[in-house]
Amino acid sequence: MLLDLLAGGGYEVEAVDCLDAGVIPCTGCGSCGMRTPGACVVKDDMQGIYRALVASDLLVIATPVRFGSYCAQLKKVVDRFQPLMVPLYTVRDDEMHFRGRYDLPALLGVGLVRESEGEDGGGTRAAGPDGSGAAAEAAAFRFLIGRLATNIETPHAAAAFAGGDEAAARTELERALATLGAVDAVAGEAS
Amino acid sequence: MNVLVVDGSRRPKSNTGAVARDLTARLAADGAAAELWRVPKWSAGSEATDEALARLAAADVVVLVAPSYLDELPAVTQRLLEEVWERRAELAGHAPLFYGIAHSGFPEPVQRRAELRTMQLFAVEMGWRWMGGIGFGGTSPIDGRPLDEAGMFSRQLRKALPLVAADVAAGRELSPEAVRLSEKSPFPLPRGMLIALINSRTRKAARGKRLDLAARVYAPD
Repeated sequence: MLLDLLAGGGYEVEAVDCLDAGVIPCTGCGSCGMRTPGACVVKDDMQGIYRALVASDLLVIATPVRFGSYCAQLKKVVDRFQPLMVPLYTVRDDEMHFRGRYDLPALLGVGLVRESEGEDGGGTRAAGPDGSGAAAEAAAFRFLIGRLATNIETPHAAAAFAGGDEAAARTELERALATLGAVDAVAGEAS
Repeated sequence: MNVLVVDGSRRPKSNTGAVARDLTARLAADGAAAELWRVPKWSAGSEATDEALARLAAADVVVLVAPSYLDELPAVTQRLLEEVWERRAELAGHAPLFYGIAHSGFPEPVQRRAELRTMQLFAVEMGWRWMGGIGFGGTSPIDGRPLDEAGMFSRQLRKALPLVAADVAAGRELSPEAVRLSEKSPFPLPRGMLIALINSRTRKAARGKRLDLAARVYAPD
């Protein structure tokens, strides 16, 4: 559905499957800061992902939501975003951050929240007294996408929904795309 | 009371390790049977999850200490949580108390909020009791040193961790005073002056090495 919406909106889509991508976890070596500024010394599939990312108009990260966060396979890629930043500090949104290195594309975060308790799909995840449940995970994910956007200095929108309701998912995706200014293209495709 | 302190970083000589070791020592001093265990590397097989489950099954209390990578758990730590959750049936009936500690180089508490929320939601999804999370900023200058050797940069940690250890050892929720102490910046300068000072030193170091800090290595030709 997401790929169809993007293609219908006029985007040429390059998709990366984080399960298949040969990306090793960030070791926090710091080389991209003060040894080889802006370049990651790990020569794996992230090299191509960096190039595609900085050349794109829209970055979409789509993930199953795990405890309000990205799944680990996607987080492995996000952890490697550090070379996108310059090792000089600035203040952004009244917070201390690294300066941006590129004019990065707008960020769309798409999170698929588990709606049932078990693998058999039985039972709906009701909100718990301690702030748990599908709605809480969706809210945490939206907050996280905002945080990532602040970190890498780019506009953002987030869509988070449970897997079983296709109409609701489409509505949320269209709303998020509209937030990022893709509304004309999407509306044109729908009409 | 058996306390499992999980070091949620694979980085060598990490600040996470320094915090986790300090807390483990304080817990032992407070009379708890505290054990420190490091999150497995990404390439570790299912045996690593077997070990994690065995250690969790033996723990009355779990404290996860982790750095913030772009406001969240590192991928290796997130994966450990996911694998433990996938095999949660093997821990059925066992519900340790769960505490979270996050840290990063940035001083504002909001920069640890998402990660602490993730820890809380994991605990809730596991059916464990969430006992509170605490975040520390400005930890970069510690540079993996023992906290009592890191001077002013570990000051907030050295003030708050004794309170955290006392709460954990007693099985209490984290005290508001510990959280209040953690949210103070360890830097002695106003933010604007701090940024000017650090950036000046960074630029000087870069000039000495003839480095272009703003190089756009991956920009289209």
